[in-house]
Amino acid sequence: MNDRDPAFTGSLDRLAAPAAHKEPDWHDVMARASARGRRVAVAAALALAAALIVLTSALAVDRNLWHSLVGTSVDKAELAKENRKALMRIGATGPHVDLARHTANMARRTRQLNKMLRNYGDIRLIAHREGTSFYVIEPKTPAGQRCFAASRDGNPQPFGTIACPSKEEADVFPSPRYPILDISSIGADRENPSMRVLALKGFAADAVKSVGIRVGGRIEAETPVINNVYIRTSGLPTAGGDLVALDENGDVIGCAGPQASPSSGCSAPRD
Amino acid sequence: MSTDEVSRSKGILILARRTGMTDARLAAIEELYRAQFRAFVSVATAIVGDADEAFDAVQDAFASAVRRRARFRGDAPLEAWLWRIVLNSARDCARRGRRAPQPILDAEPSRNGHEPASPPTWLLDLTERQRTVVFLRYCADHNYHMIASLLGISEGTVGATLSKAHAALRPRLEEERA
Repeated sequence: MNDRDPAFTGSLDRLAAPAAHKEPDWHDVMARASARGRRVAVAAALALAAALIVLTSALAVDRNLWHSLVGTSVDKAELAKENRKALMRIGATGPHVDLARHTANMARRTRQLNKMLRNYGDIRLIAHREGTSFYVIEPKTPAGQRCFAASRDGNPQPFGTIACPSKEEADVFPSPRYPILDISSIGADRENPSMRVLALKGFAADAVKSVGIRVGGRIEAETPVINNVYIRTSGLPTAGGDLVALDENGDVIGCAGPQASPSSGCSAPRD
Repeated sequence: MSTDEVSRSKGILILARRTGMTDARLAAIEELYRAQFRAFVSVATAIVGDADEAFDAVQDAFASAVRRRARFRGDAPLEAWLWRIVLNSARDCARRGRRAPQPILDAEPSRNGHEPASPPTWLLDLTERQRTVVFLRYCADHNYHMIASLLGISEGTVGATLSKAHAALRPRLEEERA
């Protein structure tokens, strides 16, 4: 028997026959991709919001968007084990490292991990406010991806919330189009079932001086941006609204949310 | 256009806006999907054991590829990346359904009486890896190098797996000939 054996290839053909009746359906593929995307979006909204704020006026934002985002370098050797694992999974260009393979010798494993971590991105602590640390994880190489993370003190989850804007996008945060990377927690509870911001937090470009939530034309829970980050965990509206970014004159320079529209002073992302 | 169609189109439009659908990579994925659709479904059928479920696995795999295309780093051919996603999707599907390829015992002669109309029973003689290698080789027409790359094994292992598959199938095929 060889590759050309007619009985063999004939059998294969018969086995593949049911598949031969299937027709390609690219529309279905796209619909599935869209549906899955919506499910992921809803799930993500319950845990965190990673909405990028839309800029209404490119001129309203300083050209130098990121000059103050310097922060303090974090020694990776001092990271907790879970944070090391998380670092390996994000902002990296190398393959995922399977830590299970390094169980033989704890001391040796630590040395190996530290050696491996040198190949991954650098972490910088940008700010620590209201019990939350804000980090920027820089890629090791230009092909890598910059990630942003926030972690509450004592949170067993490594970095808590992580957002990595896609480099594939033509324009990513921080930019005139996206002056804010919002990672607020959004949700509802039994007492108040309406979806709303439970904890307002995120990163902002230099031109953004404060962030608030616009409910019915009024801006509530305005929170200052300090060291390129904002956070507010109390005094938040009990109803849902749009997130708005304000400049030093109090003008809205970006917004996001279901009601964001040109008539409300905001616009959808420009294509 | 029906309400369903409208909402479906809207969903696609939203996806397109979110991901920048006009990119070249998406077009390349669609092209490969159309060009090799039969091969994808055939190989998935070998793993899942059911053509309908295999079709679902392929559709889900490509939906996943569309969503994750920004992660494709380009250090390997796009075709290989897509094949890996399809193989993983089919394996997940098989695990979920715990389906083995369905035995078609006592294959019935077809109307013209020349050959069985149903798939052969010899599939049961092969392991999942052997089935996958056989289909990647003969249905998808991949060379040893590609198969080795897709399955994470050496080319020698591909050859040995095919050889074992042939050895397992030989008695069955001779029986069928007789």
